[in-house]
Amino acid sequence: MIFKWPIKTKAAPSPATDAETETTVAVHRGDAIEKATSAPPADALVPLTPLELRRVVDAKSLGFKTTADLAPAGGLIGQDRALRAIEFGMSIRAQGFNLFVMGPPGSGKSTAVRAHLERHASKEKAAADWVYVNNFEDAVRPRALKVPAGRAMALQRGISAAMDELAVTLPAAFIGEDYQMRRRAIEEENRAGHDDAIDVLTRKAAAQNIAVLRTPLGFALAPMHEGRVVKPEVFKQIPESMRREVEGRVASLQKELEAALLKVPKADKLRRKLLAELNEEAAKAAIEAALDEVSRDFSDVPEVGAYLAAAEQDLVRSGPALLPAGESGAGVSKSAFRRYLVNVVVAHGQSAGVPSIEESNPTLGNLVGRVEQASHHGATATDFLMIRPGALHRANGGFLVLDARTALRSPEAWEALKRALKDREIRIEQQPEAPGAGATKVLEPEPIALDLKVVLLGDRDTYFALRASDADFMRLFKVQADFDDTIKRTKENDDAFARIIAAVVLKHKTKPVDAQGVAKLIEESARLAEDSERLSIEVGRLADIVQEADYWAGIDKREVIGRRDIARAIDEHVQRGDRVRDRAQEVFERGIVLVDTEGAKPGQINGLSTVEAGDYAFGRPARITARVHLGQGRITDIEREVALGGPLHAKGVMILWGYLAGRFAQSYPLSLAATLVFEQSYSAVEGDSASAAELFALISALADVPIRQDLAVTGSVNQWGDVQAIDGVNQKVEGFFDVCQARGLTGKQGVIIPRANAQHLMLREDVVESVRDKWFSIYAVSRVDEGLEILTGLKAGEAGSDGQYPKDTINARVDARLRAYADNARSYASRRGEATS
Amino acid sequence: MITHVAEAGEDRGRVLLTLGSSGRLSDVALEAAVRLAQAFHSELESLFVEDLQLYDLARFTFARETSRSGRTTRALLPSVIERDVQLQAAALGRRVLVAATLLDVRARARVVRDEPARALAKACAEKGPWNVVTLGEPFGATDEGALSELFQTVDATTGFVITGPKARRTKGPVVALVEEVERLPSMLRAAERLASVTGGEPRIWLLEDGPDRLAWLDGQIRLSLGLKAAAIKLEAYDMMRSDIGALAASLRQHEAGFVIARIGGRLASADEGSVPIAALLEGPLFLAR
Repeated sequence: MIFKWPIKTKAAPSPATDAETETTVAVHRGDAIEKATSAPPADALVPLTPLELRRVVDAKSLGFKTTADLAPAGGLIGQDRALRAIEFGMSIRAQGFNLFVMGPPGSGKSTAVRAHLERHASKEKAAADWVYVNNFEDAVRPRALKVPAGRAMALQRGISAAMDELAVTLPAAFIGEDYQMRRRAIEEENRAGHDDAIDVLTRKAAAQNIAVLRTPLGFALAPMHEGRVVKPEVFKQIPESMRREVEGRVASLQKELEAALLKVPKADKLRRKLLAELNEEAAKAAIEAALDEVSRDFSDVPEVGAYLAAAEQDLVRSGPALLPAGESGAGVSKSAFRRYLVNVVVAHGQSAGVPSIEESNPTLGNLVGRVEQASHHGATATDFLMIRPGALHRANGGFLVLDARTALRSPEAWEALKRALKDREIRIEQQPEAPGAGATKVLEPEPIALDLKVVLLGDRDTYFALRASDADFMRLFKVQADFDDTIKRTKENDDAFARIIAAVVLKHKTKPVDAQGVAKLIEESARLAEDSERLSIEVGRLADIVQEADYWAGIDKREVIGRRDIARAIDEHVQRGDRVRDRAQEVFERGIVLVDTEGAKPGQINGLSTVEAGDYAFGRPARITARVHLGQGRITDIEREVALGGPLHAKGVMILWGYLAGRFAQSYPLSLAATLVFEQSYSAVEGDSASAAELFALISALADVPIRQDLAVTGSVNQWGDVQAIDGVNQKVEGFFDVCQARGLTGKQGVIIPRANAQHLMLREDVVESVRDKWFSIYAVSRVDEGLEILTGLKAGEAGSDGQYPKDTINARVDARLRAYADNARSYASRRGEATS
Repeated sequence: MITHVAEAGEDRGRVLLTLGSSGRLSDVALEAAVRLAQAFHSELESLFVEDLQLYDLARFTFARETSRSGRTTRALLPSVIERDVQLQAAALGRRVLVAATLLDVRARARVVRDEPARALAKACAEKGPWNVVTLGEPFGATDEGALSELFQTVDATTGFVITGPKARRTKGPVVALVEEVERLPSMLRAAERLASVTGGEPRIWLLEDGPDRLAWLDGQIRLSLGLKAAAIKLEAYDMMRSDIGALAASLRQHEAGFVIARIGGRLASADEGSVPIAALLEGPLFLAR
């Protein structure tokens, strides 16, 4: 039986209908082929008009000749909510009100943040400078000093100059005659040193004919005669009483020796104390004179004053030790004064306002600073002068902007950032040394008070991932600014969009764009948004197009960028990234992948899918086939069985079962088994946008009604038979169009899409042109039955009050097949029951 | 007066650095010995003398040794003193060799057991006469007797280098203390050679009693120096109006390094071994015969 009916269109007859005014659909039923002519289709079966396929912009309505006539806009339109959030986040000073600014790349969020930061930062009172200085009581914990804005460098210079002066004046203080005389006096007055004690005892012992000899480890006493130790054998010869008397003298002198030697340290201690006092007195005058100027300059900063007092005290105490031993008068090496120098970690200029810092590589060290180490003779060493600031230091008092994804790349840095925000202080943590490295002094610099606002820039995925996984995140980033990637398409926004293009032209110094060019850009923007009712505000992509068009206009020696330059820039961009699509196209043209674009077959349909290739996506058809047989109620999704189908795809297939069961099997069991497969698909299939096509294939197989192969279908279905919207409708339509065009358009080919997707259509101009010329058609359907009628040429048929479908409708055929399956199943079961009993 | 020092390979003398059982070696004495050898391209020999008296002492049953701090006293046995002395000798010998090597001076170490003066006399006599003896131990007030014995016993030597307890440098001007014009050439030559290795400059200080005699000596010296007189700093020191302490103070003030004087002059009595200035100087005192 052959079903045949003419396709009604609102436009002029298509080339196909010029030659043949009716569409003939071959319906295969077993070996028999019949021809049938169906009733005229309902309104749903009328293809969409060219005007519904692409919302074009009337260049004249824009009201300017070129963008040179326009005032450039800041790149932000339709983002009022996000901008209000940013304004709020930057104004509120309470703890935890840091910002997470989210939006797709190129949505202008960075630009908006920078603009707000500039304004806020310049209004604020200048932030303080910070320096690290030595902690004279505990060198491991360097002190942090807060210095009024713009004065840290002056402090560093002042101290450095003072030390330069001391390198000369300190030694001079110790070579003066006055100092030398007083020093000698102290030494003379306190000569009761070691050698003197021995000398005194030696003389006393000698007077008693006792020798004091130095041994390797100390002193020993022995009887002496004429200046020489008496030999023991000689000593034995003298009377015992004399020997006893000598031994007694030796013992007595030995005791005196011990006593004298024990006194030596005390005397030495007194001498050292007096010399130390003299040294401090000599040094004090030079040190006070050297530090006088810097002390006066910073008399208004108590913290600096306290430090200078500590430095002075330390210099007085240890200054003399800095002098080169044995060469008084020689200059002191500047390195000897290193511990008194100042390490400026943050210095703001005299300019007003708080800092606004963007850190593009927020590693732990780059964020919270680090303590560097120097290698010296194979060992590493460090001190407070090797403390290096991080972005938190530089931004302290102002704003720090970080890319969220980059910040999260280093877990240590992220944790350190949160810790700093929670504790409101910057604590530099020296990294532990590598195993096997020499022992290194670990510094614990005093934490610096932190008062800043962090602005994280990121996408929504990152934001929601952080919300879900990081308990601290919501407490620390309480303000979200959400940038939309598209805006509603209105006359006002079209105008604003044109002013953004004017700003792009100005920024990138390109030729102006004329109204036609802007119109094309608006259309392209709607295509990028995949929605004829919205505009993408991916400014980065638009700027790329304008710059590329500027190049092509230059090649053609035009002073103004026109529509054709914009179009060429878009086409060239597509072509450069088009290799994958070309290869995909080629396999259809060469018949490697089997897709029919003519004729009709039962249980076989053209589905549509999209392929992502970098920043470019394209659609391509895929043959879906269905086979049915008697079974126990199961649809086998072959993609799922071989683990190529994703969960959404599996869900779509399961919905088909719900539809069939709900619509047909109300009075009999669904004794059906079916298989569904994407033919020649060797990669993963995900999404439910092919579920409508799969249902059509299944019904076609059940009804044994052929499906038109010159049509492709996209859309998902629910259990009630509604056809639902899907993503990428433009690419999918264009994908099938390209295959058909390559094989030669017949005028019968087209695509069935969900009605809800009609508003998203922003098809390529060549597709629209082909539709206008009746070479191609786009049908929008809301119900499965509408699609069935277009695909088969048969009426779908609604069940009457008796539950029966009208004769010769598709649904009647399906119902009949399912009833037959149920009967067969019943009789099969009873036969098997008899056999087993 | 002789200030000749045998050159290395001359096989007739060298710089002899004496080391004793006490183990005391002044850093300045060691540097002075090495510099001297360097200045005269001579050889340095350290002579460690194990004082026989120590071994005699150790044989007394009541012999005790008190540590340098005075905190411990122990019985002194011959075996203990022998071991301690030998360890001391080895340590000091190494120290000398290291210091000499640093300045490319040929050096060797020698250990003998004898009385110190006799051991030194023998060592000098072996390679006489151009030996310069540097005393390694700091010179103390009670060492005058020993020094006197050295002056009298050790003939085969052209001089002694002594460092006092205040000694702290060898660098600085090399000052020759000249009392007689005929001593000038050899003293000046020695001063110039020492100055060439210590980085100082040779200077001449004239010592005489009274301004007239000093003026006469000054004239003679200038005549003797001829054209050199303009290049060399000359200072006249009237010993009638001053004393050795003041002279030493002046030398300290000028930060003198080596000071050269003659044995038997007003600063070093050859008979008594009395060299009071040695205890007051901050540099080594080179006493030349």
